[in-house]
Amino acid sequence: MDKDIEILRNQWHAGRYDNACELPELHFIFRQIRKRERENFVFYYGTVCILSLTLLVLLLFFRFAVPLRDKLSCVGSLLMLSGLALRILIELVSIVKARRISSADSTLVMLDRSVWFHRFRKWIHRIISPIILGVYTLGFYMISPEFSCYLPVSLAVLFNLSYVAVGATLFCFIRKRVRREMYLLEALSKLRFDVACR
Amino acid sequence: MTSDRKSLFESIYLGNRQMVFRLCMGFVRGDRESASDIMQEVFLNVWENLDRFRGESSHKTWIYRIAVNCCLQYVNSAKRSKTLLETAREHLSASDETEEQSERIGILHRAIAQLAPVDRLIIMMVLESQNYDTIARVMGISSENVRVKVHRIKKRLKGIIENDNSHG
Repeated sequence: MDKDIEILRNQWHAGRYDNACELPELHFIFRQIRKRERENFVFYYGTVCILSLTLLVLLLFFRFAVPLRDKLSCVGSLLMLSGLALRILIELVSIVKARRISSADSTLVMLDRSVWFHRFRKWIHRIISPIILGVYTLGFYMISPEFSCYLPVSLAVLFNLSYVAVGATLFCFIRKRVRREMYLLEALSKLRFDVACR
Repeated sequence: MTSDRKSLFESIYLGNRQMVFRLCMGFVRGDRESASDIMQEVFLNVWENLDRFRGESSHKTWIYRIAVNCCLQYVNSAKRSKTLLETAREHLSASDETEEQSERIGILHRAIAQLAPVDRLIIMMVLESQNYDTIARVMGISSENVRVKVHRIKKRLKGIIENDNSHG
């Protein structure tokens, strides 16, 4: 076996898979780096920006467009805005945790942090997201009576029914994310076990 | 991009791209497209972590660490549509047609392709003539653990080859 490994090592170094002319040139790599820097920004901060914008629009909407006076409606709007604000906070925390995972760390440390991160994400998708969705839905239906006064009956009914469809879609999306996190966790945990065990 | 940072990256890239490509190709069992994807990912990570490199004593260990981690992260991506063993058989038999090599080495390559991802990476670092201390620093485990793993990998390879021979 050792002799075979030595022969294979010689073959390996002779470049069985080596084809320098097919390797990308430096300028191509720099182009990819610039592209990645842009994508990273969108990936990390895109969701936060969209959620923050939604929060701002809702705030202005409740303040100026449809000022709610009923106590029930005020509590409802507060619940909706709080749900969104909490979601933004969670995204920011996730960004901080994701950035701690570095390929420059040792494999065991990288896998440890990845497992930890995906466990956190699974907890978020499984527990926190449904709670936020529930609170948001409660808030929505609390503002619905007063809000419907500003709309024709047919539009008010459509408005309320469409939320059910949106809510169901969001619920399915959350379930899909949970499954994905579980898959990743299982795969990462297996890799971590393979690295750490003798 | 400062010129200092650019020139450091350039020297790292030109000095290590072949080694990284070999490692990636071995990991994805000869699939050039996937190997190229991972290789790009490796050097993107090199760029992002360049400031950390300045503190490292051994750039080889640092590059290997990034390459190994990128390969393992690739395992979890949903890009692959075929089983890797099918890909291995396609690519390895295609290269066997174009190169002269003994059947024994071909069997050894196919055996390596059947190893688990972590074992494949470890044996490839052995083939890259890295010592157990370096491999241990890359993986974040003890040298003794590496020694035991390499011994087990060689035993497993032997079993795969003997099984292959008896069915061949």
